[in-house]
Order: sequence, then structure tokens, then C-alpha cells
Amino acid sequence: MKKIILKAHDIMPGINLDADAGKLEFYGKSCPVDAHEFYEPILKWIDEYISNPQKLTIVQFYLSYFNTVSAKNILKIMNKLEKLNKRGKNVVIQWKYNENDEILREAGEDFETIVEVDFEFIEVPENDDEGIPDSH
Amino acid sequence: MYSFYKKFEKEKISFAYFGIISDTITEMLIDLSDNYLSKSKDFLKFKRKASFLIAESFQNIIRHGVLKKDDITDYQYKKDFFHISVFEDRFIVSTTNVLENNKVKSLEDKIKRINSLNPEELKALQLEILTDTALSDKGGAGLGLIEMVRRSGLPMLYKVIQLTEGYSIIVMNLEMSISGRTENAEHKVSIDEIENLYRKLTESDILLIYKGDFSEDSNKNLIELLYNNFEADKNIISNKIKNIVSVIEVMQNVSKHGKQIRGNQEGILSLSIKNDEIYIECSNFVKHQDYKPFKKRLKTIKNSSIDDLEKAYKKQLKASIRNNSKNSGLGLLEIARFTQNRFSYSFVETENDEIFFSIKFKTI
Repeated sequence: MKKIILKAHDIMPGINLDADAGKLEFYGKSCPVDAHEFYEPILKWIDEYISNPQKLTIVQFYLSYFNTVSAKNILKIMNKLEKLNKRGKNVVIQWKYNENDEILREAGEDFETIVEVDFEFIEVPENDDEGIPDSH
Repeated sequence: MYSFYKKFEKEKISFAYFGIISDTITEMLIDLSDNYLSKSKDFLKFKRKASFLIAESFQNIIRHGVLKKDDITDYQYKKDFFHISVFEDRFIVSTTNVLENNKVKSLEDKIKRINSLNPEELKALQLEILTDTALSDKGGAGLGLIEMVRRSGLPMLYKVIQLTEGYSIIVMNLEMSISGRTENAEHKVSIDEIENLYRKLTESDILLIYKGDFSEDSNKNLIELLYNNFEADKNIISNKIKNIVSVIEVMQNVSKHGKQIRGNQEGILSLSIKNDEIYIECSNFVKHQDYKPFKKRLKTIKNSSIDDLEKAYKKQLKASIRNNSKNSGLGLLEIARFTQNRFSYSFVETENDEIFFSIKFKTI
């Protein structure tokens, strides 16, 4: 499967989708005016991925803020991963947030109550403010 | 300009804008507020909340504001309006946008319902709608409104003003208190005050006004914002670069030579439009010892011919390189050159024995 690599800019999130590694990463800010249009190819990619997934899928979110239309799309992504999880494939959502950023932690906890997927909450020191994921 | 300064005096930052709201503009405004909120430890906690609030408020305008406003004759009403204020203990976002009259009731009902809920009820409703709308893909369920009220911690203030038979404007005001949600939390700014500001700016033909810190970081964001607006309004602006350079010069004039107010290089900048002409005005306090020489220098420049200005500029430029001087006076000459010496200035001696300086020029 082809990788999707989008660099974060302005209020568009950075996205790295790597099927071979079973790693999906979302970072930066997510407030595109038309979030549905922006996320549509991402959701399609995930549909294709879950038809032939890795044994372990790690999905990392490290967003500094996002709007509600993005929140809907994040939930759509999580809903797809939930289905994968229910099929017995291992899925972990790593929710990263800057230390003292209660808002982002709370937002992750909100998602955790909605979807049945294992969440790992990872606190990042305040000076690491760029939202760059592990693989960068 | 001094009357606007007085109006915003208690605000650390006040930024009001009529114009195109886009992703880029949203990002710049969030950066502007981020820069300021990062300076104080007290503000750090709600920096992120402020970003959420700005992003969601603008998204609300972008998604729900009326795009086609052909039957609205007043120029200002065609533009969306927002205002950000940072007080000692508050962060406030106000927006005004046009909507169709047939959508007013349903919006008001949603706001009333959301305002009546406690934090737990709001959270539960948000999660319920989020789950529901992510599955059905339907919009307009009020998710954005809930998000705004949740982040703010105070009910949303709003007012609907009917413009025509088809359209109204809705003024919305969201406040966030530094102390967080408290039982006795009250709004600092009333919806009438926001409406009055909106009207006063409209009457003064002001499209953008910024009162606050003029340090380099803040200037960078403002300049980018103006640059984007000039770019978007190609019919009005013919010589973008010269205009931008003139704006940079007036702003740097505040950051280099302005008198510090409460530890900041405080000033006020406005962009107004009248008869298709754009005017920039920038004001700040000057130190008493600088007042007379500065006034004399301005008078000399103002009385110079364009040729003399060119010569004086080159001479000053050479001298500044030789002396490596920060206080070279090049900025004023640059403004005078680029505006063909069509600028005006004034000094107001205030009730507190301060000297408030303003410079105004028409863009070319």
C-alpha cells in the first residue's frame, strides 16, 4: 500500500500513514475549513488498510488543537480502528499531549469513552511544542 | 484614534477585524494571541483553550455565515467581524456575522438550550452529538456551539439584529476567565458593549484595529495578516509592497521609539477604508524628552519636496551604515517617500500629562 505523507502547515495537520509499519500518525493543528474533504482520502486509505492490516496497529495523535469538524473525522478514524480491534487485531491509540495541557488530555479521554480501543496517554514536556511525531 | 485607545485601555490586547476569514487568517490570529499569552505564566493555562475558542468561532463563521450577500447594501455588513480581547484576567472572543432570517430561531433555540446546561450535561451532550454526527455525517447539530461554551466556561452572550427582510446579523460573545469556571463567574463585557464597538468601528470605516504590544513577534503576525488582506483586495491596492513597507515602518517606529506602557511597547494601529481608499493610522505614547525634537523633525519632513526627501533618505542611509545607529530616522523618511509625502500626524496631550502621537497615511 502506498504511504501517505502530508506535512503540517498553517492549521492543517501533518499525517503519516505507513501500512508496512502499521503506523498511523496525526500531528500539528487540525482546523481545515473543509475538514470532510481533507479527511476523505485518509478515511479511504484506512478502509483499504483494515482489509489487510498488520498484527499490531499503532495510531498516534499529537495535536495541539482541532476544531469540531476535525473531531468528527478523528472519531470516524477511531470507529474504523474499533472495528479492526473487534476483529481481534491489536490496535493501540497513543494520545500525546503537552504537559499541563488538560484540554488535550480531556479531549483524548472523551474519545476513549466513545470507542473500544486501548488508549495510551503520553505526556510530552512543554518545550517539545512542535507536535512532531516519534518517527520524525 | 485616542478615543479608541481609551476604549481599549484596560485591554492588554484588543484586535478587531472585518474581513475575509480563512485558514491562514485563523492561524495568524491564534499565533498573535499565543505570542501574548505565552509571555505570562498566568495565561499559559488558558492559551490552548483560547486557541480552541478562536478556531471554533471562526469555523462557525466560515461554515454558517452567509456567503452571498448581494442584497445587503452596506459595505461593512458584507464582511464578517471578530474581536479578540485579552484583559488581566479574561480572554474574550466576539464575532458578528450575517445569517438568513429563517435560520435565526433554530440558532437561538440551540444557544438557549446550551446556555442552560451545566458542565457535565454539556459534556454528555457533546459526546452524544459527536458520536451521532460522526456516524450520520450530518452537520448543524450545534457541536461547534457546545464546544465554544464548554471551552469558555461561561454562557454565550448573543444578540440578533435584523438588517433586512431576508437577513440579520448575530453578535456572539464568549468569555474565558483566568480563574476557570466558578459559580459566581460573570461576564466582563456585555453584548451591548460588543455591539457598540461593532457600530463605532463601522461608522469610522475601520476594517482592522489592533491595540497592544508592538514587539517584533506581534508585528510579524500583524504584517502577515495585512499582507494577506492587501493581496485579497487587488482592486483597491495597486502597490502592495510599498504599502506593506510603510506599515512595517510605522509599526517599527512604535517598537523602537514608543514609550513603554506597563512594560510593553504599546501602540494602536488601524486600517480604514473610505471611498475605496485605504488609510493606515498608527499611534503610541512618546517620551517627553523626545516630543519636541520629534515634532520638529516631522515638520521638516512634511515641508520637504519629494526630491529633497530622496536626497535626505540617501544621505541618512549612508550615515546610518557609517554610524551603525539604531535611531537613524530612516523610517519616517521611508514613509514620506512611499506616500509621496501625503501623511498627516498629530500629538494629543492627555489628561495624565502623556503625549499621544498619531501618524496617518493613505495607501497608494
